[in-house]
Amino acid sequence: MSLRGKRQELIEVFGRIPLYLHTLLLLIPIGWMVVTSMKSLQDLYTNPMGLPTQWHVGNFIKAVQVGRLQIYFKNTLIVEVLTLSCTLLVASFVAFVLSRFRFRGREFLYLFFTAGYMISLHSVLIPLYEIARSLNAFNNLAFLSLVYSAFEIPFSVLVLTNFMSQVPKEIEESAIIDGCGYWGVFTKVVMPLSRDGILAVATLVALHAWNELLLALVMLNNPSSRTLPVGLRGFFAEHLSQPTLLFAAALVVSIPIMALYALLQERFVQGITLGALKG
Amino acid sequence: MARGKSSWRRRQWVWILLFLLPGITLYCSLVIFPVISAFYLSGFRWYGFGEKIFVGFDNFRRLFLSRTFLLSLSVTVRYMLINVPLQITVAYVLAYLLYRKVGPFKFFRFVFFMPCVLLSVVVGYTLSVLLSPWFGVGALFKTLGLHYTNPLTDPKLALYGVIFGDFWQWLGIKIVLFYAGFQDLPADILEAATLDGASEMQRFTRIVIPLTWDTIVTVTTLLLIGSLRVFDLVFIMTGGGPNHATETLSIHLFNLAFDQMDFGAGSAVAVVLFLISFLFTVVLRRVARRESLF
Amino acid sequence: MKGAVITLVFGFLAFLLVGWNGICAQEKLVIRIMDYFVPTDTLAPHFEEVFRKFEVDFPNVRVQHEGLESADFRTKLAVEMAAGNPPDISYVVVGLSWEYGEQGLLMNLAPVFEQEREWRDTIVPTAIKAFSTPDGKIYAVPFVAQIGGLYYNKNVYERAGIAGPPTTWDELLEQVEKIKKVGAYAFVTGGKEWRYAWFITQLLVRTAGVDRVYQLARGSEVTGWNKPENGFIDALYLFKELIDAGAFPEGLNGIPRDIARMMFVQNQVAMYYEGSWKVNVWKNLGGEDFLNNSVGWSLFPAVPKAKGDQDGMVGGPVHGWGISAKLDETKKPLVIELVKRITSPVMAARFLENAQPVVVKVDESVMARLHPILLRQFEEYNKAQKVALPTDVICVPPVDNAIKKIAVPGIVDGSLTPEEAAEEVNREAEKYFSAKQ
Repeated sequence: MSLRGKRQELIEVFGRIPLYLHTLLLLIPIGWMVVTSMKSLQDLYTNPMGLPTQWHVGNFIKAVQVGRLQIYFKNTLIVEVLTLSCTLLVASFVAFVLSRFRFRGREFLYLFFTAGYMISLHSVLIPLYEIARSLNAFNNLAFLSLVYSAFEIPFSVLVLTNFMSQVPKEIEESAIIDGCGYWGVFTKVVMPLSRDGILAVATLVALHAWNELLLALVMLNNPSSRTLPVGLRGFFAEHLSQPTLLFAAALVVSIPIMALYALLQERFVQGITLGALKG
Repeated sequence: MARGKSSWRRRQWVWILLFLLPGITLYCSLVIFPVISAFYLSGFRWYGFGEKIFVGFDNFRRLFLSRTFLLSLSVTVRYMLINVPLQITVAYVLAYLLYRKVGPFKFFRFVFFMPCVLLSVVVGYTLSVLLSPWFGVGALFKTLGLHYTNPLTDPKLALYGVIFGDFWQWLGIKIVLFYAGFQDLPADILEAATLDGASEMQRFTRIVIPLTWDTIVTVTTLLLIGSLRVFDLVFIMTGGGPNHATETLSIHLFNLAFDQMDFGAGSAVAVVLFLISFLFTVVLRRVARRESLF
Repeated sequence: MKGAVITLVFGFLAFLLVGWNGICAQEKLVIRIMDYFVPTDTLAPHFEEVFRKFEVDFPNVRVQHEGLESADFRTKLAVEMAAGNPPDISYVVVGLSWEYGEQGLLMNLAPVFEQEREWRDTIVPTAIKAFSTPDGKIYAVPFVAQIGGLYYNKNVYERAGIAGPPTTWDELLEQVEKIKKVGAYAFVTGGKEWRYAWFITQLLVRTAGVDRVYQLARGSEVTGWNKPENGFIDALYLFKELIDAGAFPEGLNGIPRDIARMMFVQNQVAMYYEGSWKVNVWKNLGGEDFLNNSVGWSLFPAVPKAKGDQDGMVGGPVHGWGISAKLDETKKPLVIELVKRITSPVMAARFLENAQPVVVKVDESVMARLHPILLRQFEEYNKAQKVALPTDVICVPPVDNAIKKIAVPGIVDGSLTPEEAAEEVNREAEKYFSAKQ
């Protein structure tokens, strides 16, 4: 057997161990969560790590009802749509200008926009709170989305400028010769050719908005305007002694995103990679 | 084209401004202005209602004398020092193994990345129940007759508990990033090294690591800055820990502002957070020797 | 890429719509009421009933009920008050009502009570007095009182071979040993949410006496927490004794309140010291049988070596409804009417049935239907000469926070000595009261 083959074998044998170990580490809690979500409370107390005596599928419906999950779902969806549309719109405009025009102060503007990624939402929580107070924008999902968009600008501009600057000058020039105005160049040339970048940004922005807890917690007091993270947190805090119910809720909430992930796996990964590394 | 140069210039400027306007407005009003505001507020004693009293650097002075703030600094630094090397090494090795085609790639990538799309609230809750003495691992220990301490309620172990949570949920992203970085490795150089008799280890240390240095630094930077601001998972799992044992800088800021209503001190912490982020970014930029886009 | 542009424009329009919607929904007059009766609380449906009827009677009004989980509620209320944007009606503890009233955020109800004598007379006079400031102002409508005592789990007692609740401190320590031997814990509480106030106040009553407690919280000794003669350090030492004796589970500082309750109901804990509302909790979590057969109640044991009131209790009028001082004239009568309705005898009866003692006069028949434990609590309370309100009700917020979030947790995990802990509390007190001057 050649040296290469033997080495390959060795590494295959030993190399698999860490990979499978990590897989187990990830799958065991999830599996346990799934199994426990269909137990009754009695089962949980008597046999925490085993299988249920009866499979209580009704737990899921109960979880949605008691937890009022549909409200939180709706609100999160609203925030997602608003944040995505606003971020993509605004960031692509800025990236377009920064990548395809030449003017004084362009470098400064680029730095100005992208340096903002050092500023985290958490550190400006208090001033944002003050702004919300003066605008009476508490419980306002649109305002929350605006804030999310604003903080996604640095990263989005970074990635999109990168992508847009790669569109060849010739295509742009021929479009102008054909009579396209700047708007035409933007919509018909640059945007379509930056599709990968746009999808990358969209994936990451969507993921961030989906998961954001702190600002939503501070802004959304009214239970009927809460997003999923905030609503779930409150729900969990109220019923800590009923993990079966709470796991059912957790599962109901997670299944859509897991399904989405399963279907669009490539996109997700591409988004993360292109975004973080090429940016 | 009979257009005068000056009117074309002006036309271009109009378009530039038009395109930039929404971005500049949004960014300045909700990002830049708040940052300046935070710096401004940090110089006042203000409890949310009533008057703001100008105290200059007093908030900072009190902050650095405050036990809880210094503790939160310590917590955050320890978090970074443990979390970053841990996740970087494990993710790098796992990604390398995947690159060496040791197992079904698609399967592993699917599993590893999945926790990243789950809500932090869900992950935090599930893991904290798993670690609890009543329902999860603790119950298992009890049936085996062993003593069990819940890491999340033990002041000495809580930090490790939350780092475990971070590891569990977010390792996948780093693995994906490193894997992508490996794709750029020149296969011919690696081949040549093998033919020259280099061992697996030698190839790994002498060739792979140096060639992926850029990726390593990028991911490390992202992880460092992310760890500096860590909030969500820790907040859900321990809320700041048994008696401040896992109270990171962000959680401390939150507590100062919305628990003790000390907006001035909270702003001071925000300034500290910002300055440290800035410092890290600048230093790491130097280390990476990255070139700017232009 | 027409599709992309259309989506973006569409999104933007949706965006404007949602924002607009937020502004347009202002045609109805909204009354905001904030409390900790979450939608799943047993009292929530009764509130809903009152609100819906109110909306029928006043069609131009919408009642927005924000029931938040207890720890969240305290934080959120503080934040809203700080924002100068108080909810129209809020469920406040008496100490906070004074705090916010002085800030001009809660309305002084003394003139209202003057005008609405009938309404005022439905409330027990001692409660009105307890809620009033020294100069006669009152910033909340007193509604709920609490009585503190020791709940004990008869099942655990049986297992440990204990006949009944302890009457002295030494007996208590003996019981702790017996309980530990059978693998259970003597006490538990929600450390994660810093639910230490009732317990520490009871100890303070034993070591300092009811009058001194008031002086420490509001009177002449507000910055005297660290003075040994004021008894706070002794109270912390007593608590430390219990911690060192293993009376509480490990990791107490991280135990959530829900889990703590569950432990009591699951027969893992022998005793639980808190207020009257727990009667309802035991019924909901453990079932009626558990409450009736396995739960007992007694006063806290005397501590002969301590210098305070050995028969003093913790309790009194605790919660009331505060009304925002920032209401305009059109809203004021509507809000007052709503408050009257949520403090009606019917609501009072509901509260009583949920183990929330009310300070509103109720029918004898309602009283007769109450659980024997509650009736016993009322009996003892009415007999008691000395009663102190708990520190989280009567102290100013920074001091209350310092006690339950810094001092006691420090004793629990051993990071602070009682002297250091008292010093921390005093520091907060000094900071607060010096800023006030």
